[in-house]
Amino acid sequence: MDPERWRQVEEVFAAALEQSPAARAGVVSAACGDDEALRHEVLSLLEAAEPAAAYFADLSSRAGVPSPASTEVDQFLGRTVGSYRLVRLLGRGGMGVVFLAERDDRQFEKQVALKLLPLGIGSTEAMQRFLLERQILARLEHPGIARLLDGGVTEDGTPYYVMEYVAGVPIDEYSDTNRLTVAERLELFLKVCDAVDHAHRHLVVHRDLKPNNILVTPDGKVKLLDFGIARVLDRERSAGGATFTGQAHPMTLAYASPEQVQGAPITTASDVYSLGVLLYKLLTGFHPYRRDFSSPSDAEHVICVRSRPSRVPGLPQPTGTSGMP
Amino acid sequence: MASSPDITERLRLAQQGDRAALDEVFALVYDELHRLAQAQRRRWSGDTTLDTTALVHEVYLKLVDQEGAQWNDRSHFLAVAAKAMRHLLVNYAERRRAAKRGGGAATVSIDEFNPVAEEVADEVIALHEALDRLARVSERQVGVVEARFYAGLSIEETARALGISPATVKRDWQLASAWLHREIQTTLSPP
Repeated sequence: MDPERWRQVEEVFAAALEQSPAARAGVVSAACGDDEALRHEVLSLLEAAEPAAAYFADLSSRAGVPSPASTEVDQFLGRTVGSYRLVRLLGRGGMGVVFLAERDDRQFEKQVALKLLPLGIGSTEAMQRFLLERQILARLEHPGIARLLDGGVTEDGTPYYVMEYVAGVPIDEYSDTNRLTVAERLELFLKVCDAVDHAHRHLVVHRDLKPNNILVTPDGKVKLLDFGIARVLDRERSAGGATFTGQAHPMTLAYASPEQVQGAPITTASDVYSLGVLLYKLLTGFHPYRRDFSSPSDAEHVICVRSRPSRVPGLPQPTGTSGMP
Repeated sequence: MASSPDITERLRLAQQGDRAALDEVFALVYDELHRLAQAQRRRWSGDTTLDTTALVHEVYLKLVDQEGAQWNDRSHFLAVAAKAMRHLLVNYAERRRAAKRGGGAATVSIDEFNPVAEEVADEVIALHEALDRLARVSERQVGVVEARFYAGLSIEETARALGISPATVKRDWQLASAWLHREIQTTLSPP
């Protein structure tokens, strides 16, 4: 392909796109004259245009490259949401966009994490549901659970949560960096169980327990993030008529329970399952499935169908009794 | 990390065609993107998906002195960052492929933060190579794809970043994505 030839392709392609789909072939034929190869090339590209749009949108989500439509992140910086000013982006994912924020009135020099949920709340009913949920979550008061401080809906209908800002690292990383002993790891794990237990007693299921949601602060305190938010997301998404196609990225399924992967009803047992995966990881250094999932269906196969992690070939069989307290 | 005082200056030189200045900006941005991509796992957000758009914007906030920056510095910076992101992703994809060929899937640890999943590695590489071929006929279209796909810029932002009209961005994207899609299909499943 040479540049001159490509200019011709460009020109005919652009002219064709201005026409209705039905009229395109005619326009191309007229423009190409007896240049059969050019006609052929442009028609082939026109045919590829639509699948290409779908393909790139799909590749976007699979490669972690967000589609251009959903990317106006920094438009938020400096903006005020409720009485908080958004200072800096902390992270982004399927669960929303998280900013480090400060009280706008500067009365308190308090830094918080403000999470904008990837939802539009259209109806009053949905709004009431969201606010009710917020009240339930606000009732969770436990030193091991990052506190929900506030929440609401922005002017353009995006719900948000304001949470205690936790400067910590994921529990697995904390354990490895500090070379914690088995006993110390178990101690940390028990603190996690304690926090989860507290939530379960208040009938709140986390639904997304994984190391990145379980942080340990420099002074060794455990803090669980995002309690119950997965539920709000699930519910509003299905209430809104949109099909919730599960977690966007297979990696996030690494701690999910079989019922979660299969879309079956979720109970407190789902959290317990995730805790089991976490414990396995903390004690052996390995994830029980020992590999990344290549797709959601692969995850479902590995989590629900394949043999139990304890029987994965190649894993050293446990010998003797463990030092569990 | 402190913002580099002279990156804005270098960016302006690069805009005037200073190749060495452009390379310097590119290298700085690439390193910072890589560092942030690795750090992202430790972030608050709780997701291990690499969010390239957030990274690109964050690199901008980190590297460019916001006070001294002019309105169009940001656009130019984002165009460079988009290219750096493309190279970073293909680098991860190549490592993923090498790991797969080297020791088999079992040795790939779930902890090693390689944001490019195994199943997309081949596509990321195929896209990168197809873009190299596209560059021989239209550098501009490559720029459009980089800005739109790797940095997630909107049509208007892309137009500003590349100094072309939004209508051209739209046309370029449609043609280039169709062509690239066809190329990738051919690479991945040869006829």
